[in-house]
Amino acid sequence: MDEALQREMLAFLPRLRRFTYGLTGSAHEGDDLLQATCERAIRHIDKWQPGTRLDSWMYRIARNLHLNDIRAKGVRSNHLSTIDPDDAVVVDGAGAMEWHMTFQAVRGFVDRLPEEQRTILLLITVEGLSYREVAELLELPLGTVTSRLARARLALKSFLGGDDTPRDSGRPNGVEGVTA
Amino acid sequence: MTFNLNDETLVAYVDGQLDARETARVEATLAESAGARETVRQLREGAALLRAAFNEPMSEPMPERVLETIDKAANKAVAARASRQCNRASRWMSGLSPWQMALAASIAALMVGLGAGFFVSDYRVERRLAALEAVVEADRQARNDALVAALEKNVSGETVAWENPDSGRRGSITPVRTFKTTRGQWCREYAADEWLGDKQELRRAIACREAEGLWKTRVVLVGDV
Repeated sequence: MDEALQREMLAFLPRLRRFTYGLTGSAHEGDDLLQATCERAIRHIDKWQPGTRLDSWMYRIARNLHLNDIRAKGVRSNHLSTIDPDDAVVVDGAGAMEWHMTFQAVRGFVDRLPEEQRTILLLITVEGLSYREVAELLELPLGTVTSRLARARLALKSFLGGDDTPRDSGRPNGVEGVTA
Repeated sequence: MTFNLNDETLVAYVDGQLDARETARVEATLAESAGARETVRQLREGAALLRAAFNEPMSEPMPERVLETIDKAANKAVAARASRQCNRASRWMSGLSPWQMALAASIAALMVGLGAGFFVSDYRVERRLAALEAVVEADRQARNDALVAALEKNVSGETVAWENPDSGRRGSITPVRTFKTTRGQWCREYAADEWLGDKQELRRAIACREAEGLWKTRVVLVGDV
């Protein structure tokens, strides 16, 4: 592996890690999956075509390893790791703690989504891949990606208290709430 | 669940995935419908919250075992240098726990604009990248010094070798022939040979003399630019 490839892989790691965390729903399992993904990518680096996107290729490896894992275990262990209580220090008043609760609730919501929606939601909305890239990566028709994503996003909107339902009291009251 | 084709189009619009014609059509609808505008606002806010929610736990530093996996596959010397730099944690980092910094960053991203947040960084990764950058720059410097020495002083066929112990890269430059352009500029064809581990790269190129000690490669005949 030369410096250019090493640089590309390193620079991509934080994003890949965010994805593996989202897939597994746990920091510990996410890091195990991240490690396994890197090991596999390095072992099979000759299968990667220089000039094509390294990130898409590694996202795909992560997702396939994760699917194998789920099949092996039968079920997905359903727990989001909680933040160490020692770390739960308020940054700037009550607002920060409320945001932290909101973020945790949002991660819980993603954890409960069907696997097929979760992967697409993470790749597009968190990782910023285009619909087309995700369709290629998952080998799905573009229309399937579009509709699964829309379903997940509308569910998220309802969860966050859109659709005329009153806002969840555990959530800061709008973005302006932090600055106030 | 409120789900129809219209919603799919709105989501794709929020994500910037529609072509110009479709975008114009959606925007015309938005101008007329306060309800649709509210849906778009909520979809944007939801997406931003989602990104911030998954950026938050990324505050825990990248596990060393993952970085070591890459180090092992890459150049040993670069890795050693990078991990030396990683261990020297900068002083400003020590005041805040990584978790606090990330939460602050997540909130800042939300306040700056709901669109922010695909980017995520990690200081251990940044340190390694910086170290890698320094090593690559040192390679470039050593390669260029050898090139200038060979082209400026050596007769054709006489080799100048170079080596960067930090990267493990080594190489040599050999002038092959010399000629003068119609505009009176001196140019030399040279052969460059470079090794990283057991991987060899060969290059043939023509460089021309711009000034004392300044040779610019004009044409690459064989090998990567």
